[in-house]
Amino acid sequence: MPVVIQMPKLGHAMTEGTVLQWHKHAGDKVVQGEPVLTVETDKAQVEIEAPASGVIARLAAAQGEVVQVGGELAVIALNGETVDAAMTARAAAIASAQPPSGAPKAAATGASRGRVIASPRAKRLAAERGIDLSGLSGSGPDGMITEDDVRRTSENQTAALSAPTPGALVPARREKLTRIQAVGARNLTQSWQQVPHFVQMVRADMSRAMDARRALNANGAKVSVTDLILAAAVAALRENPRVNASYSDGEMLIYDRINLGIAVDTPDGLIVPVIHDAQSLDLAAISARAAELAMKARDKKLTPSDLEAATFTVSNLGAYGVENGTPVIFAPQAALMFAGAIRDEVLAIGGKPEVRPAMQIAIAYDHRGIDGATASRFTTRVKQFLEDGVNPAAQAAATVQPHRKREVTLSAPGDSLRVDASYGAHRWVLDGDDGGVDPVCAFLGALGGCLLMSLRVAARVRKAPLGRASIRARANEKGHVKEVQVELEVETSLDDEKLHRLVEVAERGCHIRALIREDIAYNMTVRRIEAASN
Amino acid sequence: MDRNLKLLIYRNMIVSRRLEERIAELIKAGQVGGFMHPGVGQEALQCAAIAGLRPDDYLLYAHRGVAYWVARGIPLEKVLCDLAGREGGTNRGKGGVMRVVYPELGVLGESGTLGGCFPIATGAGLSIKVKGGDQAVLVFFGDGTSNRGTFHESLNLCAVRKLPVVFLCENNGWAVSMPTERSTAVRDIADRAKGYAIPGVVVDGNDPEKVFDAVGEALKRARSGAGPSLIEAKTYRLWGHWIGDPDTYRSREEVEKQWRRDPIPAFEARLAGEGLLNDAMRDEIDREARAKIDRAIEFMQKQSFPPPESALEDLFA
Amino acid sequence: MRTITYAQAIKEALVEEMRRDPTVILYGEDVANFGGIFRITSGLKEEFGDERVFDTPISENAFVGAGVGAALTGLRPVVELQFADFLFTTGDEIVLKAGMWRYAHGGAYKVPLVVRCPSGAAGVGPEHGQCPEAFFMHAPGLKIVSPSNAADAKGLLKSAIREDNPVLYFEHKLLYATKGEVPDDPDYLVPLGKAAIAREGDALTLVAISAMVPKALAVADRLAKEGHHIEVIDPRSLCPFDRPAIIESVKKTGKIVVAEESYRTLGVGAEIGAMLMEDALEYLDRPLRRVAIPDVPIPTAAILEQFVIPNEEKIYQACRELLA
Repeated sequence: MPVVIQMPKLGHAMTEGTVLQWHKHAGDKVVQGEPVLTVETDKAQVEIEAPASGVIARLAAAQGEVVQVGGELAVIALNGETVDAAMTARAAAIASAQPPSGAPKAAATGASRGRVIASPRAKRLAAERGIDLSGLSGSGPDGMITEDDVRRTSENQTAALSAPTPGALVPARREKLTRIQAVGARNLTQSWQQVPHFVQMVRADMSRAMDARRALNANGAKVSVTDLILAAAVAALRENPRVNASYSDGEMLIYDRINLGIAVDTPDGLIVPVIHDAQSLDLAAISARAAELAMKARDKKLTPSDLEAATFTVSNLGAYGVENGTPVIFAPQAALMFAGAIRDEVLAIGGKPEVRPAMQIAIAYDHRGIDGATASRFTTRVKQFLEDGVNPAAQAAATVQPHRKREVTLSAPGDSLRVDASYGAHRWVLDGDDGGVDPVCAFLGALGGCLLMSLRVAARVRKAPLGRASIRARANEKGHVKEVQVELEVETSLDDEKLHRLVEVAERGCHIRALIREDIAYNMTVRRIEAASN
Repeated sequence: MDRNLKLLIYRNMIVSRRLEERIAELIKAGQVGGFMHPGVGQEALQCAAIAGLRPDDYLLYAHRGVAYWVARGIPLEKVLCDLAGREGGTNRGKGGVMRVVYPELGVLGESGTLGGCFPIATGAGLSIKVKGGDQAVLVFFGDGTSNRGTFHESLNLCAVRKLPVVFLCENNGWAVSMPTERSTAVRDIADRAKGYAIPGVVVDGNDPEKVFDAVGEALKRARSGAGPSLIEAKTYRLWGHWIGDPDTYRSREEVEKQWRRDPIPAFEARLAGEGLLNDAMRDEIDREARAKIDRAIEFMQKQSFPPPESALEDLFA
Repeated sequence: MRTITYAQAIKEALVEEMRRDPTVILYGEDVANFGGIFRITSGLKEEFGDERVFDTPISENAFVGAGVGAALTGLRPVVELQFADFLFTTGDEIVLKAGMWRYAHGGAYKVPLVVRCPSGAAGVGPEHGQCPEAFFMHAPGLKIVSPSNAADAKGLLKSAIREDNPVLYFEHKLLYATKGEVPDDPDYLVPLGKAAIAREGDALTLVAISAMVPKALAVADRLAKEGHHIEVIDPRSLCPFDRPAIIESVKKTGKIVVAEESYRTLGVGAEIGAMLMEDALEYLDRPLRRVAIPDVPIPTAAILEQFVIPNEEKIYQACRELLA
């Protein structure tokens, strides 16, 4: 049987994607893992790889076409099948799976081979109101578009442009919004309409911050102005958690994790990669992560998870020379920060005019959940952080050494069994006495951690449902490690057989597990917790 | 039985026989789409039994031949149009010749399922009793049909409520290919009457006078309010079960032997012996019969078929 | 207007029609001397005499078929079966004789017969508790009614008796004791083929047959408290079926649930589904949901019977599923 490449679900809310670019044509040979096409989702461009080796029997969607999640993109004839036979087998399978019927009355949709599932009533209403169903997501059973969905869309649609263009005004050309732009336009319209914005502005004296930056970069770091702004945001968010939140239905949902979105302009539109868990990152770490994301963005290698779950967004307008602006919040976040270009300005310092590098900052807040006082505290903290120029962590960062991957530096500073470890900007402590984590435990931590990560990767690749996972890793209490016991608990709806297969794959992929000698008594137990139903 | 009645019965027997022969020709020639279960050999039984009915009595006939309708006085044209499925019949192509109806003379029709007639006859009897009249119901059926549960339930119910129903069994020895002695626990079906405490008599079905007398007794009993009777008329089915039946399940000897007991020549002989019938009269009656039938066939062939949409009519009153 | 029970309403209809028309007779097992095992016909023999009200032996084929014969010959018999399930013993008499005699004989006769069939699960097991309307909806030539309340019980029975065609009248055993307001008018007739809107609404159409109607109304109350105002339709006649009423309602609501105390496959819900696919497809916003017996015989033990018979909770869940 031939293998079908389907539009994958690459994001939690994804319902469809656009075929951006085919890298293979019908008749081409393809090797498992080779990129076959690039698709564009709401947030990013993603390469789709061949799930199997064979020959491309057919392409099922044209470039530029919108395909629903699960829809057919291409068919690969496996080695041994002839291309024609593969097509016939597949066509027969499709034909037998579909009920024989005449084509249903066309709804008001454009040419789209991805089928739109909508109730007959919804289709009728959409036709009456001239609504394109292919743009809707459905709230009915199995994602069916219902009458209510159509009604809501119809009510939300902004009125058409009032006056028709006068005959004399004809556009020279039309530029269709890219998918990313179109989705952005929709989201921003919603934000603008639904979120009551207010904006606070400050001007920060950047002299100290710029000095700190120079010092760091002289020591080999690559801290940008944006990095400074990001670090300031993190500090202020840590101290003003109400701004790291979302308004929802009469509540402020406050998040522990600070996921910083960084607005980046690309030829295809604005994308916002996210530094997750910035709350535990110092300036150096932030800088490193931001650089990584920038590179991925440039190479178009951002994954959907790189673009998800931001709690606060920063946009550095200064890169374009803009001094100030009025930000539009990305709902459901509660705020968004613009930083303008740094310009020499005359500021009053100690009552006297002095020329200082100054940066204007504008922060927009969601007034439903954030009042002026809260906002002020946040705004002024950002200014203060930058004007102080100093971040406690920055001290330590000053001593940061350039590092290679998989190279850990350890030092035993004193007389005790305490060892300081560092890897890039990360530091931790090992302690051979009972005062901390001893090396064996560190190893067990590595083992458990690696297993959990492998499990998650394996699950992601296989699209297996995986909730919380936890491990208790134990070794014999004294002496040489003779036995290792791992108790894995997984929250999943997979059946036992599938779960055990997944765990097997995870074990094979775990680098730490591979280090355990054959003669060590290694035992893993797996316990499944039922996934909580919604 | 007076002279006129005898001759009337004889005439009806001749018309019936001739009509069956003509219908067989029509069917074999493919000129009519219907089918027929011929009653050749049972004309005496049917004509004599029905001769005793009043016009306001009810009749439920069996599927064995045309004599019932001839004897009851239903125009031959109607019978033939029903056979051909044309307009001008009695049921507008809906039921075929097996459902000739004639409400004016209480001919209620026929049940497609053998044995469906017994409860209907019971109901007609109930009707008479409730309305307080002295009509009767005559229901014909074959030997095989008397094995249906409805026969027993109906006899019992009629007996219990003393309903005026005469159950007349035409025992011709065969139910399609099943001889009676293999299907029926009793040799004389009339014996079953004992199980219902009603009179049960066996009579020679090929002797019209015996049949007429037996049915007359039973009708009298019914009209008096005394209840139902069971009459078993022994006869023989001279042709196959249906026109076209290869009839391979009966021996030629047996059939030949029965032909020698054909009721028509037997009655002719008796009538001649009583001075009631001579050759000239016989030929005349035969000629008249044929002419009558020819006219009826001509009429039938001129009739149109019912319009196809009429298939949707006559469901509800 | 008086408040009487469904059983009393049936009796009133019988008495009134028998007084009005001397050709109406009533018979069945235990109906005359004992007044019927459900006590509906007590006193009738005393008033109308043994010729018009009498007991029959256990001979359903004979006495149901006799109903046809009597109807052909000028009477208007009301035949009482002890249980609706016994219709199956009289398949020929009901389907082939009562339903087809008029048609097969070219319209020469009419069959003004009423067969009263006590239906419904009531702890009496698989062969005494069915609601077999759907089996007979498939047979041409039969009219079928299933009243859900006292007023309809009376009005429909009177109409059935005056109807010149065979009518299967399904009286649900568990409804006998229910009370309702009934008009005094001796000519109060409920026409065959006309549904009743038991409750108006716009969120969803809930079609309920016979004893499902009170349950449907209870579900409607519950949903109303949750902000959903559903429409409950009581078809009352299964044949002729008030197709336009159902379609009009679904045009309004877009959602349909059918609750019936019959087997799911090819039940009334299946016919309604087909009907809507034919005539109201573009008005549907959700698939049809049927609440019915899951294609097993009705078991006798209460705990098992309750599991298979549609109840208020099951009907509620079906509605909720569509309203989500």
